[in-house]
Amino acid sequence: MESMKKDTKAQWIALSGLVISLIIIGLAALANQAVIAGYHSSNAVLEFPKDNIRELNSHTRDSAMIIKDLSFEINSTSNETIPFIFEQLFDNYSTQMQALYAVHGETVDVSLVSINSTNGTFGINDIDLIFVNITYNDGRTHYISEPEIIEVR
Amino acid sequence: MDNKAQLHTLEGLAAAVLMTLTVLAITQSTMIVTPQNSLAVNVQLEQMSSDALGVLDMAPISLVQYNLTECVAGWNKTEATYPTIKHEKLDDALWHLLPGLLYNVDFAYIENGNLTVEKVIINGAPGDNSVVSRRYVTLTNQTVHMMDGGWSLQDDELKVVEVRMTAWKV
Amino acid sequence: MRKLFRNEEGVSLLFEYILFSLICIGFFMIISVNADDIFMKNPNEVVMQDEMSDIGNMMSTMITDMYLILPENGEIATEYRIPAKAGREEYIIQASTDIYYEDQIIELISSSSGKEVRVTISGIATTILPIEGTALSSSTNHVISYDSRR
Repeated sequence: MESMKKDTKAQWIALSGLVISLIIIGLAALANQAVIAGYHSSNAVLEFPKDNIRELNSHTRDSAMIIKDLSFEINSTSNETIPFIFEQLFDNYSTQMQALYAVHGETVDVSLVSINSTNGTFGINDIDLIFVNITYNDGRTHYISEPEIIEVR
Repeated sequence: MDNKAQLHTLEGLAAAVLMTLTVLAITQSTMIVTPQNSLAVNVQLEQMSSDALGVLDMAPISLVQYNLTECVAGWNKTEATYPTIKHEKLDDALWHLLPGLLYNVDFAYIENGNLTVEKVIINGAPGDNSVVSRRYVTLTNQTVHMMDGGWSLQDDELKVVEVRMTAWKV
Repeated sequence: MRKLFRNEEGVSLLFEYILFSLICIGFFMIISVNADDIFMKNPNEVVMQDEMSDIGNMMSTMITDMYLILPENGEIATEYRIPAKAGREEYIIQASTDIYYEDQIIELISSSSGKEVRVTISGIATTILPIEGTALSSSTNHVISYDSRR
């Protein structure tokens, strides 16, 4: 023990020990920061149902075209009117979408408001605009489009 | 007997203890182990997979061999089994759009008022940080006929099919 | 006794003790005076800067995402959750009232320390979407909403 007290060398080693420990403390602070960083911003992107709403919208647009074509096809072999067939098909589409979205905990509603034609008749080239109400709700995000105007010409 | 440098030995010991304690302190104090990385990766993954489905859905027929509607319409209605049976057309298209990712694809649709979910592509069990993206297609008997698919639809019937893709990084 | 007075061997040891304890006391005093600054305020500052810019980015991301899917006729509202405190302080999120940056910047301001973080929203607001309103971090629910018909 006596020899240890007298040995006053290695001051540099002691000092460098201090410096290193300070650096490590700094690094610990940085590491802690990095853990928090970017949580909320990434989470917001993941939680916000942007793609679901967009897909509901764009798919309804696509389907309106398909429904229009299909209703003219059905009309050629039956004696129902075009608006009647269109409405039925659209209701059918709406029910299926509702069920498929409900599986993911989302309430949607797609309902037909009106079928518009330029000159009042419902020929294949006359129907131009379709008005549809779209609502979406997943408990946090509420979306209403009344009406969504779909061009089907 | 050489009894010099006793202090060095002790100092070495103390330094070792200090370093161990610091390392312990750091690892203990970073309570959540890098959630931000996995979240950021998930954001990227979700973007990529929903883009892939979107591209396939929206692409003009001249650009891709079969677009999403055609792929779905052309399905022969046999459920996938790992690793032999899967929906080849859809798998080919997705494989090119999602390099380095693995994915499972399900089709969900309403049959006689009940929800039916069928596996179409299986590439294994999804990993820890997998994301689900979905896209909808509407089938008619015409599109099914054109692609020789296994769906049996009436001439005046619409079928909305949800294409549900679970993607993950390996 | 005389011999004891003449013996000066222990002096340096005594001096060493005195010096050493003086240095220690000095060090301790400096540390205790500045401890709050060094160990609490600085880390708090760092954490706040970090968390506030994170939340600012979240707001910016959400507004941009909403902008992408805005209905032409209709409304959209979304709830978001934020921590009541950044570091140790409550904060206010507000659309910038600065005339020069109006509608372009989201500001997060801590009312107690006055710390302020600004995040841009990529200029979308100047086109169709004027941004207004403030939100206090500790209030119970937070909503961003847009109504095209108002």
